[in-house]
Amino acid sequence: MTSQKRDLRTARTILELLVAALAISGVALAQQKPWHIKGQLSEACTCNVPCTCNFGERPSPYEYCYAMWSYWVQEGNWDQVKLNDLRIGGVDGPVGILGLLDARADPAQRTAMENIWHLVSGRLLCLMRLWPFKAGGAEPRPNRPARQSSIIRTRYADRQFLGFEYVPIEQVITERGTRLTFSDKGGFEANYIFGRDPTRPVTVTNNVSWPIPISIKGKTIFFKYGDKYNQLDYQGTNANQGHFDLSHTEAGALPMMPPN
Amino acid sequence: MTDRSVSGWRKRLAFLTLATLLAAGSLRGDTNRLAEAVRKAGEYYRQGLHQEAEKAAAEALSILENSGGPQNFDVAASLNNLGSLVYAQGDLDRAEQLFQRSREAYQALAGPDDTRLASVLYNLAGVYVEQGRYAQAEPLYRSSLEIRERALGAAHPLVAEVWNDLGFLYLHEGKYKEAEGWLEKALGVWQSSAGSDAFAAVALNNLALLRRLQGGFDRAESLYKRALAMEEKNFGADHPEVATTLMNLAALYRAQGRGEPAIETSRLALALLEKKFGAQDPLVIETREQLRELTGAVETRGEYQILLVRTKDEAEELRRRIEAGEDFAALAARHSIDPNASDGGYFRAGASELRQELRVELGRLAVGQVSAVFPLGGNWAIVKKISEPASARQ
Repeated sequence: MTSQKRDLRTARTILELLVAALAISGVALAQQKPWHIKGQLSEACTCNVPCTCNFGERPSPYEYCYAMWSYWVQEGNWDQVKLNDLRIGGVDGPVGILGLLDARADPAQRTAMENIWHLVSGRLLCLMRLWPFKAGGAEPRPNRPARQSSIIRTRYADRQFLGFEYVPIEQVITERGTRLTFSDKGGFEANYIFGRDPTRPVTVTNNVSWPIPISIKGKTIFFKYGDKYNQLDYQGTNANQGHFDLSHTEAGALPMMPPN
Repeated sequence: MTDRSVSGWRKRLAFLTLATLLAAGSLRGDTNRLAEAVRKAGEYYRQGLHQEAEKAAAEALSILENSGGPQNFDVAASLNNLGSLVYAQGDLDRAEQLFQRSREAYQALAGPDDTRLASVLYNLAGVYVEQGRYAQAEPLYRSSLEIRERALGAAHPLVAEVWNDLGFLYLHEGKYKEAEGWLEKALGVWQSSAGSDAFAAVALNNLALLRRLQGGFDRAESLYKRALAMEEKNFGADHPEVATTLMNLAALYRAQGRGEPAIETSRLALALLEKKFGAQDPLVIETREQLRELTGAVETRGEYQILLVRTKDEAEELRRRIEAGEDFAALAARHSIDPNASDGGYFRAGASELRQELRVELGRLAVGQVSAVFPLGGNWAIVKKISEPASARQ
């Protein structure tokens, strides 16, 4: 057998192995699985009304923006797994981000929702960065490497992912407002904001913070939540309500988080 | 088809097979284990326990790499974070490798305009700066800057971060005019950004050294004092970060020939550092050495032996053999890559002639003692103290 034939045969064997591996595992690449969800997003945060983050500004009146949200999937699937009427939510507080998923989901739906949560609701890991270089007192010498004189070597934009919990989620949407409840942990209730036209609430389009093309602006009556990680208690803060339509080709914008 | 193209095809197929097998499972069941590892890494990091944080970060990376799935971005992030933790412990070579892998992952996943890629480029440039590889650092900073300016606008604290480091880089290359422009811009943005006082103090320190090198002592002193005020406000008056600026101020006084304020300021810095880190901390030892020099102790040379090898494993093995009774000099002569190897690793040096890492390690040793293995300039070293310099005996 010539060297070329031997190489071609090896290549063919590897190709066969590849096909076999796919067949045995019974799954395609996870990130290539098609998914599609559409429904209603209800969200509120600790920012002033209207949320400054919507307009490319830093959070206000605080330096932070903590939030609660839920994607009510009225119709959706992850590959063959149906997700109709399930809710994919979360809370982002001072300690980190907890995924709050619909307790009614079966095991396959739970895996599907966890995967989608990572894609639409938050990043698992923020990036650590080196601390900016601070010169020491010694005169730099070209033949000697520069040295960080700060005792702080790195910085961590500390948005920790705290895992998932499965809870009953209630999400009520009316013509005048919205209410979201995560079991006995809490939630928020918001009234839509009406301007001089009492028949239609104020909306914002091209909203970059949440993946909804048109956002109805709301103001919270209460924003109260507590678990072993995060405790939040605010009122009169910003809320958004809108229709989402997301898929593996259009995962949409991420919620407001510190840029890496 | 040529042999070479068949071979390349085979490699690509092998890679594809491996990637498919790795990605075939999702994170089923591992998500909370992963979250726990990430949470632990963050907690240890905040406590300053970098080794423990590194272990937890490595576990997170391992879970992610073995599961694949839609969290591929998290593999890239994990590689970066592990690199940062390794960097924080001084292992620049390993940090470089991890940052490179993270960079490649982000380039493949997100393309060239991603802000996460900008952060990894920034980190990798920092490693090159500390290795003295300025020519490799500069284009990385420039790329990071382009991405961030495009995504965040020019007046963003993260853009200022790159400006500051470019200024620092030019300062160390002796390009003072370029350095001044970047540092002033960084200071301007940080001063006008809420919550950026600690960074503004960094830029002020850099500008102060620049002014000092240009002969503007009074201006430099005023900049250091502004930096001190900001750090005290941001971190608290007894924070060790304040001590690092005090040491810089002391160095300025010393350069001006103002002995008394130099000694007084150094003592203040030393007290802060000792209180926080204890007497045996490397920075405390270094500050004490500086204070000794300032108080006029005549520097004499100590006698030492060094054994330098390329890998940590080799160094650990040689350290075990020394502990088991083998002769340091003989092992150094046979295995060390240091220029003093032919003399059994023997050398004499004053404190100011030693690299900082060496000064720190030797400062910990009593006469006759052998150090643990430690990183030194990209290699791994073991040192033995034969005699103290006279000033250290006082």
